[in-house]
Amino acid sequence: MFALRPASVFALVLFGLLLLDMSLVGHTLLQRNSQREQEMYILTETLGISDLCLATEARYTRHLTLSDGIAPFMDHPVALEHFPSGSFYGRVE
Amino acid sequence: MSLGFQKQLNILDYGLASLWRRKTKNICVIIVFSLVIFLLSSFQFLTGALTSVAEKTLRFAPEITVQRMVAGRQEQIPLAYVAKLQNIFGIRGVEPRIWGYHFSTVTGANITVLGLTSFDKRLEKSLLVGRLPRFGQAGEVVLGQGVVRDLNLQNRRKFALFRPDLSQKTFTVVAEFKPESELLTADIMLMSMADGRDFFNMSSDFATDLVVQVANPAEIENIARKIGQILADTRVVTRPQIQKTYSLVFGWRSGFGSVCLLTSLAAFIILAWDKASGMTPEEKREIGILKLLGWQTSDVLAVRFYEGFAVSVLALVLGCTLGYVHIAFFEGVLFRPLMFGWSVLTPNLQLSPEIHLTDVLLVTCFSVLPYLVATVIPAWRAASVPPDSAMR
Amino acid sequence: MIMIVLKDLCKIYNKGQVNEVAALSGINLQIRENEVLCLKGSSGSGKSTLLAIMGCVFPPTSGVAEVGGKKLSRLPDRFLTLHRRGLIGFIFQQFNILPQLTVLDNVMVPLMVLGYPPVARRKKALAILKRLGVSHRADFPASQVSGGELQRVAIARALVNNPAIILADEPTAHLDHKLSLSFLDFMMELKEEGKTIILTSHDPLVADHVCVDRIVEMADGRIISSCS
Repeated sequence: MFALRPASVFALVLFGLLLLDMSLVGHTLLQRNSQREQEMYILTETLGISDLCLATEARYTRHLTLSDGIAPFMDHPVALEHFPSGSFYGRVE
Repeated sequence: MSLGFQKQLNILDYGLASLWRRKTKNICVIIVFSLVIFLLSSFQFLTGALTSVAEKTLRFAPEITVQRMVAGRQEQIPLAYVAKLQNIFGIRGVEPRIWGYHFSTVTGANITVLGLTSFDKRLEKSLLVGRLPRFGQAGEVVLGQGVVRDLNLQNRRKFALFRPDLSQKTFTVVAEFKPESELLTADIMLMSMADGRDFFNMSSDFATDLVVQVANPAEIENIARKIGQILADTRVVTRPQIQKTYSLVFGWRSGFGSVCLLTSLAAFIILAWDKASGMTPEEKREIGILKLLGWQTSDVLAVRFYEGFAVSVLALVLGCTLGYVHIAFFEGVLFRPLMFGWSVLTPNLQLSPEIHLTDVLLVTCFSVLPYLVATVIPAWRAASVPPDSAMR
Repeated sequence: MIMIVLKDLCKIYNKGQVNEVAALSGINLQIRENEVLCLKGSSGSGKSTLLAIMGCVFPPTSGVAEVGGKKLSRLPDRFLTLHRRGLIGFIFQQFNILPQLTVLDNVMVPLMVLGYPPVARRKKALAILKRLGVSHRADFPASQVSGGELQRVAIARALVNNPAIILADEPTAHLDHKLSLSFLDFMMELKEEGKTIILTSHDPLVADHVCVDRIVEMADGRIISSCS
């Protein structure tokens, strides 16, 4: 029986994993609809949208760029700080 | 194949074989290590993908947004301000708009209400399912997918929401934003400005902010400064500021630091475990014997290096693969609670993360390098075992 | 041809420290190629240290040591190792087999750093195991092999890189009479192939064996007698 040396087995495993990675990346790239992506900017241009819609719980997490710094109690009746998204999207002055 | 290369391969063989002999332990190390790398790489891929979407779309964000500040808070802006701006040279147009939030006490959702004075026809063509609201018709709205889900409309096209004075306002859904645009529109309720005022019980002399279009993008900063001078009680936000915010928003404060810390911590717990069960007298003896049989100190070090290399590279590739799958195919489901917090309206994250060399390098620097350093340095001490120790 | 030359050789362990030990002092010895030498002496007489110097494991503290035509005195560890792995085969008292490896892997260890590819080193190791009659144990873990067989594995490992000099430290200490004799017979065989062999032992069986050309007796780090 022809036995592979450990170094070859290791290289094969690594190679297989990288091949898997490449096919995964290729798959998502193929699925990606670049036409749609092109059209997304129309939204920001025509509606004046300034932020991504990620955490919608408070205006300082939803609209990081346009909200003022004094946030607690303003958007949610019991919100002292919106955790964890409030710490996730720190306001940038 | 050169002799030196063959020798290195042989040493790699030796290292791999000795890893395989302790496979239970080493597989555990690889699993834990790849989980750590999985967290780190997921985070990198997620923020990378979001930043890239932000960069692509926010290039077209409003050039200048003017908000009125009273007592340090944003207040309504009088429409009279529009006329004051029109004299500034270089301004192509000023549009007042209603930009507010409706908090639904039933579901806890925070809906973004957007009232405009005009709608661009391009929207209808590619981004909506349905038609744009007509200005003569009161109560016509376009809903984002998150709002549709939250209101649980199904086939109904009419719904009502409370005004601040608790009277009801009826809306008719004329279109929905396409699901592909959720990352920008999930929580948006788009209507005419008149409807927006009506909904919020606002006086017709006011808007929430002004969007200023500039003829020459190079002049944005100058014009913003002029606006600041003319309207002293306003805050002027420019497009470059918005873009800058997004390059910073997923930066250090965004929890990345804590994730890194967690990673390093976990890596070192693994290492501590690995090393605590490391240099046994048997291993010392093994090194002595190897050296007696003609292995150089560097060869003994190389065994350790290759062992560390094999473990960490396997964990790196496994972790990054898992991270990619997590973001690209499972919408970063583990990070959703962290990212969205108390949000009720959340977008679907259909992201296709781009693999940047810098991301991979960063993950490598925070995981593989410390592991390699920590495996080779103790081996340094060990490799100085004199060969004659095996003779006694 | 002279294989090993030792002149005024001294070895001091832990020099300049409180626990300084003079292991060897004033050793003068010449060993010819193809000579079989037996070092006799009680434990602590310096046999093992002398063997280690002749085996290029460490350099002497002072004096001249020339092994295979190369002076060891000032050679750094790296070059000692390079010199050692092409020239010398060791057989140890406790065999020093790596118990976690298979018998075959143990024999292949010296070949790995010499850059032999897997097929070649396997072939070479199997051939030598076969010659010693333990090829049926090749794929056994070394920890599961009996003492007598283990010594054959140790000999196989010492011979696998075809060294000119074979050094054996108390090779018969853990063997019974019969196994000791067969070991010495094998040394005779190697002598006939032209190897230079140096044994340390206080076993009269070794000293009296026909293969031994010369017996050097040591005490307290000095040579006290030498007879052919």
